[in-house]
Amino acid sequence: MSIEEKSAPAPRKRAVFARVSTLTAAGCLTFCLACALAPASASAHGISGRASLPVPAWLFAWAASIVLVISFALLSTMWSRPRLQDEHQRRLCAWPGWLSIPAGVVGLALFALVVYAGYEGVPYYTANFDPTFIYVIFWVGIPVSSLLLGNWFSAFSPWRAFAHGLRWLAARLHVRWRAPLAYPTWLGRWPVVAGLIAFGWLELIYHDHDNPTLLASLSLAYFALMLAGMALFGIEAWSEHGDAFGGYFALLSRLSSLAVRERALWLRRPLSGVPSLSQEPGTVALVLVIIGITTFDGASNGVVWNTLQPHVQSFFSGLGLSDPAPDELADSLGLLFAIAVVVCFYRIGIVGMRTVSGRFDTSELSRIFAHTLVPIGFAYVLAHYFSLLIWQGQAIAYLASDPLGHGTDYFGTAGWHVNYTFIGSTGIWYVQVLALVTGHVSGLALAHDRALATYRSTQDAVRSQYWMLVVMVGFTSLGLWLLSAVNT
Amino acid sequence: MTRRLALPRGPLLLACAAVVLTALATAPTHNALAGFGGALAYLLPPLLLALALALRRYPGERALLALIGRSAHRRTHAALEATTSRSRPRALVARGGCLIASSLAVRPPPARVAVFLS
Repeated sequence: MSIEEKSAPAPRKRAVFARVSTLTAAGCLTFCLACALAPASASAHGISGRASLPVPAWLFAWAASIVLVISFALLSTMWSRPRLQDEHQRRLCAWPGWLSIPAGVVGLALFALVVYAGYEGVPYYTANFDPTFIYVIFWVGIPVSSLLLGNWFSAFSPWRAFAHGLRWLAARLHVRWRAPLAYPTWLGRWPVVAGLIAFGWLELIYHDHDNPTLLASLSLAYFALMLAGMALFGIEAWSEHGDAFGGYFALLSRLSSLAVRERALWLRRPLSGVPSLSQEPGTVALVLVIIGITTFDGASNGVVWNTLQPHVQSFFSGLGLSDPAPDELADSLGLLFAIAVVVCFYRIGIVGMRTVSGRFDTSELSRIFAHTLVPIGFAYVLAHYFSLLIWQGQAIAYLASDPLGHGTDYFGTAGWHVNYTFIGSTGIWYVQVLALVTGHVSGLALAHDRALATYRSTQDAVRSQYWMLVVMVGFTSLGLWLLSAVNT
Repeated sequence: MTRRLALPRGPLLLACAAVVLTALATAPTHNALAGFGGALAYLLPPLLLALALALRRYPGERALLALIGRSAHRRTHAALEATTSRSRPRALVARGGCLIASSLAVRPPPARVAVFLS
């Protein structure tokens, strides 16, 4: 008896279950249609007015869904064997080892500037170097540039460079240091997950997140934490697993056709760096948290959360908490809820795939297909932060000349301003749609490739990908809804 | 052999429950309901697809599998064709320049070589 047969319920139970689920589904569908067609829903499509789109914004979601369905059909018929499971890479060029020294020095100098500007600069986020550098250049700019250049951050990482410097110094002094502990396997990528949630909370929820002094203090604390981790578990082991930002940038850089390793630049087939992502504990959580944080960022500007948040906030106020704790607690709940929604989306796809074949259980399947969410995570980041990067990113030109806000002009750019006419709202919307669609088609391609390598029969592979199609279309539609809410 | 699949309705029920609960939670606030309706306008395509899959309908699956089978057959056929055409002798008798050379030669080349040259 096969696993499927074992898990099939009794006929009577099945019939009742089928009737109940069909009725629920029908009710749900009716509700969906009613809500979608209700006049009140039209008020949520304010993006049309701002971005002057030729059609309602929700039609973009439908068009994107059609693109994904067509991609799914083309992939199924024209992509008949796994092509991305090996990296197929070749070395382009190599560089001498000493080049890591100036790279590390640059990273350390920038870190020192962040700390100095945080303590000595003016306490206004518009005039101080820190908020723009940390929230725009570091948090958004590095992931985007990693897509083009590979994981270049590892060479510039200040804490890693400092640890290497300390090790070199210790060797010169004939002090031999060996990490006393082996990195625990069960911990996997969980420190990266925790670090990203903490940073997301700081950026999106904490009331004083723009305070340069606080940012400098937190940077120093993170630096010390990284040094402690590297001292305990070794530089490379901790950089790979314990460094939240290093792990995050390394994950997204897998999408790049360029790879930086062994002091050389490698060229690989597009997307072929993603399937080799190891299935360590916390990997699924990591990609889901990346999407979840961005989802909350979008939802926190939308009508649903802005209507619900005051109610949640008043609940916490009723418990006797003083400001700003109720507001932060309500938003923290929202962040957790957004992550939970993203987890549910993925879970639906995985549970659906589980019904196709009994060979794998759901936890296995969620690990096997976790890497397919990496391009979606990147697409979410790019789409949601594109306007921030394009507009606020320009501010770094004048902030570099006057990092403390004291009126200096080191590079002659202190008088520059942000040019908001560089790209309009409509242009940004099209870039966002393109980023989301491209990211999800890439995810679909990765899932299809993995399905071909995983399932024995073509039918199972195709059926499993129907469920991944639901996940991809769901994430695309969710992303576009959130973006339209942000622009409303 | 027809395979019996487990009922894939669990995910659907989960999704439906989430949708209905969120709707009920947001119902008291008109704006949230309006926003929720807006969200549904966006999320209708994946919901419809999930509904179809949960009811064990894989839209277009038969056509897709037929296309996959046809393209696989075409690929196999082409590969077979290429293999057989490589292994089969292209001519059994000398032709063209080789025929003239064979005729004029006092001692013609061996048969295998003649075939190879043609």
